[in-house]
Amino acid sequence: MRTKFGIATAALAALFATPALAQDAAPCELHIWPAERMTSITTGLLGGGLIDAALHSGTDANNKASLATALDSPSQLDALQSLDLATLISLKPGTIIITHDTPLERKTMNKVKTRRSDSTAACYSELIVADVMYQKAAIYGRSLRTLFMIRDFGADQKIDFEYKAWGGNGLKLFPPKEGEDAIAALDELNGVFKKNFEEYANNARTAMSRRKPAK
Amino acid sequence: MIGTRALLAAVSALLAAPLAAHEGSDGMCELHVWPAAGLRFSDQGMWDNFKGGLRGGILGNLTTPEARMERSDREMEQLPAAPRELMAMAEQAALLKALPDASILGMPQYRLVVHDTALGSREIRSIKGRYAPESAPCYADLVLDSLVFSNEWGNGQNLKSLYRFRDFGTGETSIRSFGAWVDSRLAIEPDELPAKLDEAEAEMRAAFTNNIALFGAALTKNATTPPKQGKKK
Repeated sequence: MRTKFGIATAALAALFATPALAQDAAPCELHIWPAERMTSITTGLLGGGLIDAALHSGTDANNKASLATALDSPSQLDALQSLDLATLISLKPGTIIITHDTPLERKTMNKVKTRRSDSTAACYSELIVADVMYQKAAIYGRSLRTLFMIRDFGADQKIDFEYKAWGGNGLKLFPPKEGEDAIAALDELNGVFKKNFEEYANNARTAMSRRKPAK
Repeated sequence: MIGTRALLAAVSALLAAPLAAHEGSDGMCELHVWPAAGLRFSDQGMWDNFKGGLRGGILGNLTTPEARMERSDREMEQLPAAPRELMAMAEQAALLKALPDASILGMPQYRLVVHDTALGSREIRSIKGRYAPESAPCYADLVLDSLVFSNEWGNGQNLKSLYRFRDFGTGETSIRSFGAWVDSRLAIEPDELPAKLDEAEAEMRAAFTNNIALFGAALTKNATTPPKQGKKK
């Protein structure tokens, strides 16, 4: 009798305990979105403007096509996932990474202040690639710049922490010269994209360490 | 005696193997070709170097391109509604199949094998071996990675193709690779597409085929150009 009662009590206790335990054990989620906007800005000695834009229109269009190919959505997501995200952006142990193949609409990126996915996870954050930009300036040379944004929501729909910043590094091969093999130059974009994220992540960790709630 | 016969057979098989592999089942090498997933649209506009910087002052206090870009609410380029079907995968495959042989690519000794479905971006980047494992022993492949209808302010419009070529010879690893963008000018502007769809289709088909020829010329030039020597110190 005692044993039966014991079993029943244990069963009841297990029944009530399960949801609480499950909630405690539920892993955090990091949702990642790639960028849709690719831009190439080539400025000569004129320092930008309409004449520069007209002079470099063809070059910038070629560069944009290359960016959109080398850094299409799957490439951006694969590049980010090939990095040690847990260490780079101090993810909680066991965080599940969920990637979204379709980029967010760029103009909504700063306006929408709630979660961008339907997830109701009690521990939820987002990593959004906002912009990818190739820049060539007369003095500074060629570089790839990438705008990243991390938003941490915790358990609700309110942003607890947000950090948005550019990462940028120089390019040696891109854009390829006419007649030369373009593949190495396209691969370079992928490598520099990763370097940009590492640079961003270093700054993001610093910002996290003196974390203040987002307004 | 049996041992000697077996050894002779093995040696003759070993000598014959490379020749047989090189010739393939009917003595021809194969060039496998894949179309692109579809036509993409790119628009290089007049204000792209400003990117929203014209608001509030000459540059709106947005002195760097990054800052201007971040504040820009310029919409993503959208292909006008009607011509989305232009240069669909099936049409590209049909145009590739219409080529008599691989001479246009400077490879007359190769038989063209055109695939109907595009390779995915991940497959193109991650598979280092043959994309078509069930191919002839002597094998090369050509992938149309990207097909772009580009509208450029002050420069008109064109059809751009990014081709990736790999030659495996009779082995399992690539012995030569080359990739390049080529483009052909188009006369019909994006705004005119819905009204001139038939003309636009004909023009794009011609540009598509011309791009193959342009890539073939670049491929041939690349094969015959010796690699650049580093500067001697």
